[in-house]
Amino acid sequence: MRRAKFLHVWFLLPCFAVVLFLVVFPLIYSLSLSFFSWNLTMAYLGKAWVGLDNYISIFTEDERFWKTLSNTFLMVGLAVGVEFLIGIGLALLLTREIPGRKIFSVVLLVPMMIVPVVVGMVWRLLYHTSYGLLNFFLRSFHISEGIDWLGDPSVALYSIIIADIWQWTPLIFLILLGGIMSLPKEPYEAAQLDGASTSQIFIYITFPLLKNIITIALLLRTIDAFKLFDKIWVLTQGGPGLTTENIPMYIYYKAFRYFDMGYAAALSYILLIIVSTIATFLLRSLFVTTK
Amino acid sequence: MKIKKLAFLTGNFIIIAVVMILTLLPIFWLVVTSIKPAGEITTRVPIFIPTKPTLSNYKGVFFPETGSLYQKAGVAREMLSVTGWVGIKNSIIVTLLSTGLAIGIGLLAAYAFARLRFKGRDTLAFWLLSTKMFPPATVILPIFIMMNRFRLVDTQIALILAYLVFNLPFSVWMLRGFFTEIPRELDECAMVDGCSHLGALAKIILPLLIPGIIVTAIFCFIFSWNEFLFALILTRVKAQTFPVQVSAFLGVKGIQWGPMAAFGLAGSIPPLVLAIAAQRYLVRGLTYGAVKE
Repeated sequence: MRRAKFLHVWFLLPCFAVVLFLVVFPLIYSLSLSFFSWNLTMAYLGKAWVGLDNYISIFTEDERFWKTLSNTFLMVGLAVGVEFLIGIGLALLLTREIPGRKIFSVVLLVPMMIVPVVVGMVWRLLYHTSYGLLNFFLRSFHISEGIDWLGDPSVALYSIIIADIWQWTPLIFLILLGGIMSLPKEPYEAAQLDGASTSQIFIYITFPLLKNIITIALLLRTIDAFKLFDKIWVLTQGGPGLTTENIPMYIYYKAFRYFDMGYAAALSYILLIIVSTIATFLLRSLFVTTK
Repeated sequence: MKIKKLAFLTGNFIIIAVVMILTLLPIFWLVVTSIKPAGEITTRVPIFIPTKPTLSNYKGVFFPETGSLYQKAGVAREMLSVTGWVGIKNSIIVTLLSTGLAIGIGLLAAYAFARLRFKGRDTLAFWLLSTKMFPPATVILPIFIMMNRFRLVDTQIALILAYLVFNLPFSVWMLRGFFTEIPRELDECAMVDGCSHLGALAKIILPLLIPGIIVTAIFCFIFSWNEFLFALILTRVKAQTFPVQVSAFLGVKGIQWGPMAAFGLAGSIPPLVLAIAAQRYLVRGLTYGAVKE
């Protein structure tokens, strides 16, 4: 009987051993590292305890941090916002039986499944100032003489957002389409009998029923957008200047270019806190829907 | 009334057509660039249908006659002898082994979460899933220091382990969902007949779980195949995976677009094929089981 009581321990042991080694230990280690000053380019100084100094200088002196933080929020907000609007528009359009709907869903699946680094490369080619396709279209329709998509500080951030929108709008579309298709039919029949208009049906029936799935789609994309690294790396490496650098990019530079390990650890904890706050909300809605 | 409906349908049709074109244009461009000879890529007026389509870009990446794909890009000397096979081979090994481990370890944990009763079960399951959402940038620094200490940097083992960070929580969570869809009576019957928990798992439930296992494995495969940040930091030359090798085309002397497109397209095929195979479960996987269409 005693054996059965602790049976779950044996089943969970391998899993939690891995998590302990690869997640818990690293998290504790980087938390402690964030209270040290440890620069590998000045290794002779060794590790020195500095308490909260890293955090204090991040928040009070580090202009680059505030710039990259605002870049991050701008990218997340704009990308997820536009992806959501296009995604829900298309999903509502395609709930009706339209010829070619199946092909459309398969086609929209393709961008999501192209390796993100390759997506970055393709867009880099499309954005090329002299032989890129986008500038060719702008020239041929006499809209402009061509835009420096990745080199102009006021444009580069939006170029990255466009590439992200291209790749991830389909995800929101597919999630919402799946959600809409699984809605119960009865409320719609009742509403039609009562003579409700299309917009009334959307506001009073579809939207409330879909609220949970919308929340999940938005939070999933938001969390992912906070981690964006590969496309920025390929498209601009954070430049020109700091205009497209987000927090993950900044952490990378601090840790692996300047080897300022303590400071990078502190930065990464700030990102962790932001993302886990959002993740808590996501987990809560997942809990409600998967129960 | 009829005209209104017709206008509505045409409107829908136009929107769908535009979205399809915008979606497919970059992919079309990747395909076309990959079969263009060098002279037709960097023209001021783009060539949409190559006049002399060629497979030389593919040949140059995978079967180089002289030098390797990086020679013209001006990258570090130790990478000059590397062909496209290195990245593909490393990606296959890392992806398959990491996926296999995640499924094996994940099955045991998922069984406990779905079938056994113990204190704090749901809390623990949720905490585990939350680790999947951590930004990799947060754990990459300590993992790098750790791997460096064990002299595992630039080995496939480093990436296989690192990818468990996101594959394992995902696999446990998804498999737990598939477990709960199998009626509990089945394994209870088996245990009444004298099977142990492990025996019931292996003989009765596992065969029923195979579709779920395949779907979960496909997702782990895609996540690992596409991963860039861990691969960038934990590999140098020998163990570099496909995405890192693609990014190496950003050499100092300008990008070789033709070979890049050929390589990028070839390496994108495995996840694409798997995603289309698992299309029915795609949304379910991408929403951690929240939307079951």
